[in-house]
Amino acid sequence: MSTNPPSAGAAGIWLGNWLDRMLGLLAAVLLFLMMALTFFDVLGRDAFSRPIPGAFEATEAMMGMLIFAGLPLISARDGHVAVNLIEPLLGPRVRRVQYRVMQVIGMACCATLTWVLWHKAGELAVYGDASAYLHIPQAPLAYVMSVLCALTTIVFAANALVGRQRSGSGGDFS
Amino acid sequence: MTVVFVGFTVLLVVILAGMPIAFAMGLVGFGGVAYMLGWQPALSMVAQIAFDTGMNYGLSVVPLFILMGNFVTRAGLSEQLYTASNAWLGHRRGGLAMATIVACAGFSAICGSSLATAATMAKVSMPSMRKFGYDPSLAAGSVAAGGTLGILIPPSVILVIYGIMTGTDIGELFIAGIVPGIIGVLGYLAAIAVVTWRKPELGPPGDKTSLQEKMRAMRGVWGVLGLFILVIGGIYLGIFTPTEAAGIGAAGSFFFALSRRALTLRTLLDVLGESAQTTTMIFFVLIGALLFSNFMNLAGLPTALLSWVQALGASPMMVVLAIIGLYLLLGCLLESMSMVLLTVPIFFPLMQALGFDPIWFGILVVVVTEISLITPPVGLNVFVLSAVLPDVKTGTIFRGVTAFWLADIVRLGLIVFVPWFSLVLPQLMRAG
Repeated sequence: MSTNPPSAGAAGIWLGNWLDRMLGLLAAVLLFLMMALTFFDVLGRDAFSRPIPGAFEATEAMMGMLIFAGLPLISARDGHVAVNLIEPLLGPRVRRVQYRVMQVIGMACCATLTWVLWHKAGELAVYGDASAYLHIPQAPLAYVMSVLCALTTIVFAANALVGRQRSGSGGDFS
Repeated sequence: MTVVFVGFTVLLVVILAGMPIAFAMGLVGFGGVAYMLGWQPALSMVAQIAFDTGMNYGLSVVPLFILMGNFVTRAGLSEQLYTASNAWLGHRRGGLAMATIVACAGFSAICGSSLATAATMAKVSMPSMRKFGYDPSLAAGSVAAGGTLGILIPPSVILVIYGIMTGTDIGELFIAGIVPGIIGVLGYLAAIAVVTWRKPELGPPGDKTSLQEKMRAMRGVWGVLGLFILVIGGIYLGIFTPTEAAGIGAAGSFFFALSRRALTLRTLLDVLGESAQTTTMIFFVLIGALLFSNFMNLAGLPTALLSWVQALGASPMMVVLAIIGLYLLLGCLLESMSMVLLTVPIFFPLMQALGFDPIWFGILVVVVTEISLITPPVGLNVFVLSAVLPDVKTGTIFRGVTAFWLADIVRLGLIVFVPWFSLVLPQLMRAG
């Protein structure tokens, strides 16, 4: 999207601008590294017949982290895609209730996700799953995903408590 | 089948109540699976899908193409594209609107998103159309319609998602979008010609330019053209996989933006962060959709749909037309990516069983989705425009879009009844 992401609203106060900035930085760095890795991998392979070993696996791990690092960020900005058909028809009071209900639902979803990913991480740790070439252990990745979901749960809880601070953007990407 | 019916009803209700689509699809999918198999399998399905979708190499094509579009936007390429197409077309009746369409098409060749295309081009082309006294409905309508080309002309985020969900070759899907994209451009140009022929006052001609000026205006465009040829040409010739092409494209547009001095550390981080967030948004809708489609498969919807269609004795073409009708209807309610994610897992097996080409169906889905982007009441391109152009009423834009919408319906007919348009390039690519 070409529109700039709006600054963090209610949840930004709770999550702390620091955390928000760190996660944003983490996501940015991961994406840049993915780009550079793919570029040099292809360049190495086509120009020098020397692809970067394990680029595939590193990309996968970075993707996983990137997606989940973005989750608290977009949740703090009300950036999830939603249909806003009925919203204009509601009164301001109902609208505020609707917003908070949706935040509670988001909180429940993310709490569940936190829990199941933590559980999965435990399983991965027990079996000692690692990627085939670089031997990247999978369990820590799942633990990080789970922690990021936990952060998102807090963001939703904060949104639900504080209420909407700005009009939601309901992001889109088609 | 009751469970399917209940699932769909709940899904529709919660989506309309404003629940984020990712959570709505995920919750209903999870609930459905839990109802049919129990909590434990449902919970481990959630963990599995969330983890695997994040850690999917094939999907890294999504953030990389998004990044490519955002870098090029930041490099101010949209202005140069518009200047160039304006130099060639601007002096005609309705020429500035035509230039808008062509510039949108050029921008689409780098950007895989329709909304981004519309929002970006609006900022560039509206001021000059205003200056020459264009009717706001024609001006905004041409931006809204031209913007839809973003998801058809490669790269296209929606085609990537379609390819991953259905196991269709993404490279071939991209190449397949080219001819229908060109037909789209020609259709829109024709729509402008007809509209301004009937009412010349809507789009007066702009300034004439000399050949020298025309050539000079082209100078800024070579970079994009080169990038497009590198990325799409590389895919066509089989030099890169789509993921590799996306990495090359993103890096290329990064250097492009750097060479134009359009990047500081601050803006670089902005572009990266913005692209990462868009990616997250798409992935969580995708995870939700995968949960939902697991539920639908478990409930046996695709098979039931097929036997129902066979029992009805409907001809395959009637089924296609019915599906198109349903898409046009759904497109009035749902955001486009969610619509594709929700429906493709259900209809794709049916289309395959009826013997249709997966690539052709993919293009069809995208063209129908494009139409939904400019159809009231939820035509998202129109809303993006009204956000960028606060002084133009939504109704005015929808009025201006009508002619383009009709051109789209004609194009849809061509693509449905002449699969050759979608399939000729992929076939050549396979043969080469």
